[in-house]
Amino acid sequence: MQYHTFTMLAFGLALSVASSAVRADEKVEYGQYLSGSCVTCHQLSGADNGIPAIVGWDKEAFVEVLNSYKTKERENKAMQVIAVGLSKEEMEALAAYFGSLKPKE
Amino acid sequence: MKLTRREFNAAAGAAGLTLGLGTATQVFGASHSKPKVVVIGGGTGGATAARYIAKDSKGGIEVTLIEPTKRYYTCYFSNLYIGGLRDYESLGHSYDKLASEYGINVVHDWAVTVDRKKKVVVLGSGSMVPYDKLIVSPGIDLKFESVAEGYSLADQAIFPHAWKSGTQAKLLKAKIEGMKQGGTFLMVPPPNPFRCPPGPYERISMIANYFKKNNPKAKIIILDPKDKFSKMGLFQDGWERHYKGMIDWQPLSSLGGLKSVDTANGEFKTDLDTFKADAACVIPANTSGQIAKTAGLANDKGWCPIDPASMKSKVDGDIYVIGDASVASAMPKSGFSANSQAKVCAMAVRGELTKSKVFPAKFANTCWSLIAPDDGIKVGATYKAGAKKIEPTAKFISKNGEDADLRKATYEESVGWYDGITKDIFG
Repeated sequence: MQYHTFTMLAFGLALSVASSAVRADEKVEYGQYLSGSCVTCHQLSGADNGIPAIVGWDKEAFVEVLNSYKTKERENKAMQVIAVGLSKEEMEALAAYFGSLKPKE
Repeated sequence: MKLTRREFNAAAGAAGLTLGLGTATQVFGASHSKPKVVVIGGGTGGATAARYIAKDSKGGIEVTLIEPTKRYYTCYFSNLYIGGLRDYESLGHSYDKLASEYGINVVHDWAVTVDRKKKVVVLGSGSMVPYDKLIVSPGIDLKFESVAEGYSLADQAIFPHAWKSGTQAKLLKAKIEGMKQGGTFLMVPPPNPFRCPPGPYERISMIANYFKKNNPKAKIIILDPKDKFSKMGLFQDGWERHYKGMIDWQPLSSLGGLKSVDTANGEFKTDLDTFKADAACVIPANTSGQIAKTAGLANDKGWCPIDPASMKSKVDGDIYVIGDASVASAMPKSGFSANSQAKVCAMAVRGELTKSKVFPAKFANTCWSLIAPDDGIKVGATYKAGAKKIEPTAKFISKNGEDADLRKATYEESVGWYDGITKDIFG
């Protein structure tokens, strides 16, 4: 009985880990698609030349900054317009994708 | 009954025909190889589309890019070169990485016709390039005859349009630098619709910046076929602040239109007045690059209608048109737009060929213009694919009275963007 429960628990845990991993992958894939609009200005290499680098950021910080453009707390007309057009899901996907990248040396 | 290639393949497959039979080899070979995408035009739209398809298909799609020039000089930022703020070679970009890092077959040749029935592009050299999907990104051509009676291609050597970059940009700069002290520089901007709506006015700003330092008594006259222009209030405010008294903008409607241009004597005759120019920039009306018309993709206005969700041509389900030549409705004809449309197109093409995921189309554009060193302005928007056309979802534009720090930051953003977009296009 104990063994059976343990197996079920382990199986359940494995399933939930697997499904959250799938969700994370999907977020990164969706983020990669959405990033097409970002990368002409925010370079994937992490170079920051008049436009800040956004690679390798903490995901929550990323979403927070985008939200602060959405509420117009932060100034930058282009970013405000872009952020207004992004849903929470899209911001999280972008955060997942850019967060997964490392700046080039 | 005439067999299509597909029917022949199916029959050949069913009959278990082996390789070795002449015609069968070609057809059989074609059906077993990777899907082929051909891109006509290696400018901002075409090169972006080629790179994204090659990169995101991970080698699953064979991409051929047909582009006559071996080094691409961007039209955007050419005004900064003309104004002396940027060097010429910084505008130039090579196709090397697209060939060596992305495995794209870069063919330096002209696409002369498209046989849409056979799905083959015919090149100037005579080579025939088959496609499963074709992306046409030819940019613009100029309608010289639309300027005034007798105006032709020959006149671009004296009054450069520099509305395609490279040699013409260098020529225009030489004309500006060679103009006599205290002379008159004249510009005729194009009528709507044209590539880069704020471009002629940024150019005027940059020329004025050059004159301010090197030819302070020079005058600039603009004879505009339009009654208003992009970011007009912002430019006029900037001209007043930086180049007071130098620039005179006149709509041709108030002069009765441009009747004739005498290139030899530098005379521009309108109904009311004749203007004498010591140097000039004449930008004729724009139209789609010729290949789009030859391929039958353009409407009677000379631009190519597309399906907004994918940039697919409304004329042919296997052909896509992106960039300046497309009817992209609310999106201005710009490099930023071409690059944005290319990515939507690349995603749609990969979806059709490899069943990869296709997300809803999203587009964006930002146009930065430099009025004077460190005084930059911008205008832009985000867009979605509406049911019938591309529609804006939100817009922004700079405002008069912004402080110098913001204007400087706006300019610096544009420099960062130039680096970013050219890497995004050429690798």
